[in-house]
Amino acid sequence: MNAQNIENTFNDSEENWTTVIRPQRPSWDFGLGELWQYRGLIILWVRREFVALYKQTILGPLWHVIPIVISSGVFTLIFSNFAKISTDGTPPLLFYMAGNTLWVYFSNCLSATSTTFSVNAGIFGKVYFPRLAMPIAYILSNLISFSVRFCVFLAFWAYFLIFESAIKPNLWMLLFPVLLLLVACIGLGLGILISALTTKYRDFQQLLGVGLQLGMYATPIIYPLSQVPEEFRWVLLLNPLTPILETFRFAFLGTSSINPFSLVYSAIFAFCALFIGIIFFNRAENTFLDTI
Amino acid sequence: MSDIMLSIENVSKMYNLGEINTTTYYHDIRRWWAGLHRITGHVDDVHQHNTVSDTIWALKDVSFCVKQGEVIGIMGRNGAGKSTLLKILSRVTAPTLGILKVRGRITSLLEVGTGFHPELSGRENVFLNGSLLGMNRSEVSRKFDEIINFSGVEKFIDTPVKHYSSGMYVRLAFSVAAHLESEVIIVDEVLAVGDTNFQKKCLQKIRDMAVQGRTVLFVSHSLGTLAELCEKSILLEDGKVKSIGETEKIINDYLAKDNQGANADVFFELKQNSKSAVAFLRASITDMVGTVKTEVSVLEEFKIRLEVFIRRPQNEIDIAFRVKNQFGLSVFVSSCADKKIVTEKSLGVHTLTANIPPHFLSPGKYYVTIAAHLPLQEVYDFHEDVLSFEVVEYGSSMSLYKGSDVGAVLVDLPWSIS
Repeated sequence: MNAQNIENTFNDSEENWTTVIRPQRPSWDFGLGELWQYRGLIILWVRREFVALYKQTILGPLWHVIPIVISSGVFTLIFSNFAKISTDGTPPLLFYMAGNTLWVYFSNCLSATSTTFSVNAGIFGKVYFPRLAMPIAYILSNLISFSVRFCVFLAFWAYFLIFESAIKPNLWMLLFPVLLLLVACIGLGLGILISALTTKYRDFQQLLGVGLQLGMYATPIIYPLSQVPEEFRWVLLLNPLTPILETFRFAFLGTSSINPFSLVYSAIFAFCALFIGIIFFNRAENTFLDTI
Repeated sequence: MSDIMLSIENVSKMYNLGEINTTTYYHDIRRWWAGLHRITGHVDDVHQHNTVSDTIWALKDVSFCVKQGEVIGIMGRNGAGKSTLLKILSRVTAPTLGILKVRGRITSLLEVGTGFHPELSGRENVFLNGSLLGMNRSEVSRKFDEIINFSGVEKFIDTPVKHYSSGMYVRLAFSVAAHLESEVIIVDEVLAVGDTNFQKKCLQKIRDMAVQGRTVLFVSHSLGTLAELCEKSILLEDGKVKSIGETEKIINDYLAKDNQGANADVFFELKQNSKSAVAFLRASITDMVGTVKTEVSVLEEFKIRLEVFIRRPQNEIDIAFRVKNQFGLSVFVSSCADKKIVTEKSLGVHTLTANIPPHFLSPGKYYVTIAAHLPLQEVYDFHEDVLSFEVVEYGSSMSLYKGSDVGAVLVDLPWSIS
């Protein structure tokens, strides 16, 4: 009875205020509910990012596709034809395209979200909205351009499936949305972590450029995992993207060494990255205007 | 007490000064260590325990309440903490100490047009900006026609805003913000935009908001607008609330610098190392025989005397002053440039005198700003509101209207009857 009374008076004094601004928002308050309220804004931003990028261009959205087709073609020429790196018996073009499609999505997500604070300092300095809305919009708008690229990949894939029959897709394909989600989560988590750190030390922005360049070689994109000597394979398996990429290739092309346990590792990594990323991001959002 | 919309309790904000470089890594670690032992509580406690001296308190223990339907003016000189307060209110930055409570939504028109994307059309930007300011899609749709009508850019609504003139851009942006349905609105200097007609429309809009029962916080340097719009005002000084009360009284506080009252004779120190071509030595208000006066009668002619030291004479040097009244309205500006009295031969100390005719300034307090400059090129010396004096009433016909608005100046027009 007594406890209930206290509860009630507590409610009376608190419920009248819609917003209470305190010095520091607790780190465990992710503000997800508020994020949901702002979903309209996120959708508009996704649109803005996607549309505005290719206004006043002749080829328009084709620019989402052209770079990846060209780079996959060049990879085929150099790594497969000149350097004779094996692609585990799958058509080289398709092999590189599969790797590129997923990798480009990841690296685009990472580089877009990592600039959240530095690029949007102006807008952050003037209006309030849940800051996480921005990186989420980046992830989603990149998802649209990813699906454009993925459709092109599917077109090539269907061609090889029908005319060359060199590939053996299987039911692991159903796991594709999960794989995509994992890539998005890792990209978002690491991206916002870097963006939070960048508010104080710009060094991380530079570090990211180098990291992405090296990351591409530390992920089996231009070579299959099976070509890596046994004793070095564990290094590649530390990379959370390796299992995702290998599973993706296995599902669509049918050749790869798949290990379900390493996929679990990727999932745990994605969750941790996201969790730590959001905590750092929320801390930075409170103070970044005073430091940037 | 339920009509209090906004309650600000002991809000303080600390900024760290100094650059961020390699040494800050070390500071960070030290601060983190200090943080483990930090005693939370009053500002001074934290200040004492903060061994790093490169910090500044932009706001100190600011507390006030705002009721529903009030239009509150916030004034203060540059650096008084106005912008910091607004930033905290609009949740752009967090306070270091203290709590703010708001009933209902709070939106700020800190700078209109934030988030406008140049490549998108006016229509798309209205939706984008609307949702950025916290409206949902159906709200914007419902108000869309009203917004467009108010802005007056109907014809170009489907043109990318990069082709807009700056006036159209700002008008559209203000319209979006003005049609928000939030309960508390913060307006910061947005009225400095657009033509006079649009400014009037905006002022009317703000008045309407108050009538609808919405609460408006209005920040402006234009004391005239503040006096017109706000019944209550808050004066900030050095991060603290100096006074709260009726706008007219607060404006007087604001202008009565350091509370010294009238100051009709001011000497300036000549800096030894200054290389400025012209420097003021003394400024004063005197009667016709040269006695310094802080009060002059409406019926009396008086002088503004400026003593200057001209180090490098030039034909183009201009020495001028501006007279402001107690509402901050600039009544007139007078410059010696037209008279061609400063020439390339006027090296050394000179006294310039301007006679203010009788029956010209209406009774009230006045403030004089003085400046010496090379027009459009260089300002040599500048002192804002450095002199103050009062024009008083000694039994002229004007005394009948004491306290009522007789205009900034009295004009003796040649009337006739036929």
